[in-house]
Amino acid sequence: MSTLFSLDNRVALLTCGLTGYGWMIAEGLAEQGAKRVYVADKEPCTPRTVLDEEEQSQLDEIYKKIIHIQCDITTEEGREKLFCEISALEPSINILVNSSLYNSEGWEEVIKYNLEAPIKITEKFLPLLKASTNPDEGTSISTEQMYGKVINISTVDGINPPQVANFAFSSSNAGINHASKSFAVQYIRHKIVVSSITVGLFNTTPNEVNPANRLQVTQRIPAKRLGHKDDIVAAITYLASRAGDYCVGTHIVVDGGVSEIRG
Amino acid sequence: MRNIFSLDGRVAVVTGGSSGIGEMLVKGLVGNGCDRVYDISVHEPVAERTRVTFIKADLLTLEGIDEAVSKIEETEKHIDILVNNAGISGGAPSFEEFSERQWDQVVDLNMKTPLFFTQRMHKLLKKSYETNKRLSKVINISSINGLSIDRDRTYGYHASKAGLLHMTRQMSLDLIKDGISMNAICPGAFPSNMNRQARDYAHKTSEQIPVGRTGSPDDITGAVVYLASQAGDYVLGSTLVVDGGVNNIR
Repeated sequence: MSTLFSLDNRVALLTCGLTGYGWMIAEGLAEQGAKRVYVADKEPCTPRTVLDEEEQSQLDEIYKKIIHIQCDITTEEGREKLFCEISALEPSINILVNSSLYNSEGWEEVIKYNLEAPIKITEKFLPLLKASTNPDEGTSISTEQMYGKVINISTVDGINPPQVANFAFSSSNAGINHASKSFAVQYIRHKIVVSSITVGLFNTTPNEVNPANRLQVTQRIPAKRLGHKDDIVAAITYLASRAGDYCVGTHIVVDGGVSEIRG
Repeated sequence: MRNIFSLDGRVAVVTGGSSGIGEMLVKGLVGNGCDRVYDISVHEPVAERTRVTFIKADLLTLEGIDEAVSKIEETEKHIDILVNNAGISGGAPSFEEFSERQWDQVVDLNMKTPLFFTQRMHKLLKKSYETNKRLSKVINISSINGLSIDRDRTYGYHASKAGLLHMTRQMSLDLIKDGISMNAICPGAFPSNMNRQARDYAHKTSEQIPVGRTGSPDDITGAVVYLASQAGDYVLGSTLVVDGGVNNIR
């Protein structure tokens, strides 16, 4: 089998504004081969439990690779704590996924979570990301050029204005997509590839659809279903693996076509 | 580990698969699990390839398209993946010298052919969904020239590649009703007969590309396999740019 999409030996860091969502991505990246996945979140999360015994033991193995770091990514102190804790444990980080999506009515808090935090964290982790691109300093995966990867996650509200007046949320989502392009141009000189993913309506956070409206909402999606874990994990894995090495500033929309239709 | 990028057992059709990006991705599809790949091309392939069937066809005419699809139908009941890749470019030294023939050929092959080839393949693609209960995939190879402008006076090329992206968005909304998912890829500078600059002056071309190199077979394979496999099932009508960052600095 081709190793193009492998995440073997990679160390990843996920930032997360919503408990649950980051853990879902972390679980997926660990399943795809990542060596360790750090989740930066305010609150700890209980690992998922399933009924099937065999599946549960596999899941337990996966969760051994996931490490929670409790911190507030919206403050400089919180980000410093995150950096210190990780740099004490890891000589380098291969993959940074900024998936802190927070939705509320307050302008400042939303901008802090969705725009300021990802930008500041990307800047702060530059040394650790850079270290991953040099096989001598970082984890030696192969002799060929290794690229560090930064992937910023937003929602379709950043592409098409939603029906509700969530100005801060939709603006911050559009903003992070644009910031990704600027970072892509600036960071490629350090052998770090920056890209972004926009997600549509999912059966989980961040854009969780109320079960009561689920049928009605699903009918409006061209793909006639909500997104699920595999859809987002696959997009991140593509960009984070060697397969996505040429995707500098690339923006992938994973929304079942919902942003293509009017209204 | 579960492999969501696997193309095991898939049968694919690639137009223009004998050279350039087409040749790279035919190899990539086979390398990532496809059982059989059909290369529909006007040019004979240079090398012998296992699991690849070459069908010679003139895709500029509807007769040529029909003939090619009939030949596929002789051996296949359904097709899982179609890559509309065949394309040409043609420029003039100046605006005044750009000819009607340059426009017609380029716009026909780059825009009309993907539309009618997909239309004629519709039955085979729909059958794949009905049989396997998984989406069949159509991937249109556009270009970053469909998004931004370079200095060549290739009016037909730029316009047709932009048109193809918009057509992809519209067609995808219709085709998804039959379990067919359509997307587009915009490659940057990949060495080929069409991009001789990238092929013959790789070093000079690389200086213009933020990542500092021209595209590799793995780069284009990664994008096609992502969209063609289960991994890309929720991506629809989208444009995937694979260009080493060129489009962001133009």
